Amino acid sequence: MEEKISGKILEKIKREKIIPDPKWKFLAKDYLVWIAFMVSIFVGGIAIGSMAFVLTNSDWDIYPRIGEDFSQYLVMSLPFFWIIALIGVSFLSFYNYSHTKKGYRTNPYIIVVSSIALSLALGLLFYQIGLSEKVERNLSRSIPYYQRSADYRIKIWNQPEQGLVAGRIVQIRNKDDFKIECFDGNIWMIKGENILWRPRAVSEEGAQVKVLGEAEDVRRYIFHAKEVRPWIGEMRKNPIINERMDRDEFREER
Amino acid sequence: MFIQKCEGKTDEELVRMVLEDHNFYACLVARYEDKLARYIRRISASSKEDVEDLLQEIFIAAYRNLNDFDQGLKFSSWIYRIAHNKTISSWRKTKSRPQLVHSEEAQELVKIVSSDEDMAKDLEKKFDAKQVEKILWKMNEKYREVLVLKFLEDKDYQEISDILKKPMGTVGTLIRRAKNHFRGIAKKEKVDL
Repeated sequence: MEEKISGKILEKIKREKIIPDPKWKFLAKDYLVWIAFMVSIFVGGIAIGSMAFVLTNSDWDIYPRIGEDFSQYLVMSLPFFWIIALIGVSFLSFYNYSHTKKGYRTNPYIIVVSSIALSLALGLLFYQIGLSEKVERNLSRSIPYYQRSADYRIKIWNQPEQGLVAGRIVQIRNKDDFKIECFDGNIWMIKGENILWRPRAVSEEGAQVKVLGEAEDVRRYIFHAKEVRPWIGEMRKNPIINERMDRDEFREER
Repeated sequence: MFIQKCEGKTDEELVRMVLEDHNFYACLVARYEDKLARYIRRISASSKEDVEDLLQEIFIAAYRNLNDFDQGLKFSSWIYRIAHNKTISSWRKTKSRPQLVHSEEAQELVKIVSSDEDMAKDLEKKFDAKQVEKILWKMNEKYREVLVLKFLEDKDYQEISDILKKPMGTVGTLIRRAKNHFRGIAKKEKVDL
């Protein structure tokens, strides 16, 4: 049987002109797998950086001012999109690494933990250099999930009686005297003494900001500010709130 | 003629020679056909003709993928991996039960999976190969395959890790669990170990 089998095999190799697949094909496959692994680590870094950015800009401190259900506030503030993305890319990095030539030799837990650690390091770097903020700003324009979250934030920041307003700066004399146009089209005069401008809050016309303070005169739209924060993401008219305001104004007129 | 030139060469050296002249492949085939044929018969219900067909498939696949062979790996582990994957995938289509063990192997396997206390008492006991086979075929596939590789094919943990593409720690755990699983089934089947 020995010679028969080897004879048959050699004969088949010659007859069908079988040749070993070229080395570059295997190298290309190996490189692709490694590239896929690195891409998943990179995306994991983006996810973590964005999560860090969202969490540090979620205005947790203003929750006591507003009459919202905490669980809803939490749900709307947590970056679920990025949490799910991170879980997804963690699986992908595990899958890709374990499909490298010797990846199977590594304990799966070590692969997952190491991937998350690498993404964490990258994510913190992205956060520090401002890449996470850019990602958040760009995504908030294009992803529906972000619109829902943005609408909720608009609702939160449209409570002048609670000392919260937000809008686009339409005129600025100085950092203690400027005007903003809110999402509902109203122009508020913002005044104060040594108003605290948080980092990344831009004091220029066109910039979007959130303002904390006290409504001095609601009818004349005068707001006494203590602090200005940057508004991250799109600011657009919220039809539900507009309808409620129109109804309130109609009742007042009657 | 080529077979004589191969004497004294390691498998890894032969791989390099085959890539220059395919006639040297006869040497690698000659070295592994019996071992692989026995392994195929252990894990599938293949007839003599089916074993030959599978062997051909395995060796042709190995030849095609020779440039993918990593010199950091043992050639035997690499070709066993190909043999394992091809045979299992062929066996899953038929799902018929092969003869896994012969009577001498049955004795050996039972001695290994028995506990140390049992071993001392039961060294003289003879076990029916069919009983052992019955137990093996009731086992989960992942336990059965490590028992076969470790105790019937005499592979070490690193080799099993490379053949099955699992971490060594996992191989160790699987072997330990496989032994317990074997004993558990033997107890249920009232096979006195």
